[in-house]
Amino acid sequence: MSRGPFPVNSSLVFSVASGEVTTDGETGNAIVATTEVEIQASLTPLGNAASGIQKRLGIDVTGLSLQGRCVEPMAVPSGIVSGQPCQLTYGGKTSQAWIIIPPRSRWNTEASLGDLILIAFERPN
Amino acid sequence: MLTKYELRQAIETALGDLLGTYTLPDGATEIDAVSILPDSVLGYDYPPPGTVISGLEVAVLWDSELTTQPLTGQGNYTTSVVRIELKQWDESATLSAAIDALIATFGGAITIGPRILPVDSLGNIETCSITLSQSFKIRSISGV
Repeated sequence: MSRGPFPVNSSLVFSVASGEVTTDGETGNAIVATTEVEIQASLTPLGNAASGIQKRLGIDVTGLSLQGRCVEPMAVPSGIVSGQPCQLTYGGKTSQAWIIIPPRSRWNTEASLGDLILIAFERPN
Repeated sequence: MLTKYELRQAIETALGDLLGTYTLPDGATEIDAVSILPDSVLGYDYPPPGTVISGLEVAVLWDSELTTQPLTGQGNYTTSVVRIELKQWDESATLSAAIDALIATFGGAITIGPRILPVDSLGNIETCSITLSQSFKIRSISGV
């Protein structure tokens, strides 16, 4: 897949299950092995006005801070779900954040622009 | 003394088909919905984020209870107890069969706490906290 057209200014690192499951001998609990998956994205701060998409999703817009598009890869990799925590590097600083994946466009604009993502700094419900 | 693993096996045997499942975040692996807490890797965050829970879930955790408080001197006498938290995520089912199954296995070693019934307007699920007394239960069910 090619790169999206937007300039990269941030990086999101997720822990995603690698498919390998082992059992802890002491407790019998499952241990799910994870791998790190990185998305490079182009993010921009959100204004106060909530977009129609955010209103429809019922997102608390005061806890939302950034929105933008995936650049490399252009699509959010499988295994990453809406509401999943990630390590966000933005403006040279790294912090814990949560990704929210809004509904896809009817016109399939994601194919040429990259997937639309929202970043929350408070844990979404 | 029962190990954590033996206690898990005793609970899984007692509940059998009543137990629900964890579908782990890899999306494919389904295991019995029993958590021994704290988990050695994730602590109290077990099961791993992204796990889909269905049916009856059992969380087992270790706690201390104050038994005697000395009049003089220092130090409180505590006993270690095991709490078995039952959670019924399936709204069409109840916990009564699971409670009966635990009584059949553990007998007088358990104390059954209040059963919280599901309330639609609060959006909660049916839960029940069961205490397994460590000192009593270890000897009585080591033969299970």
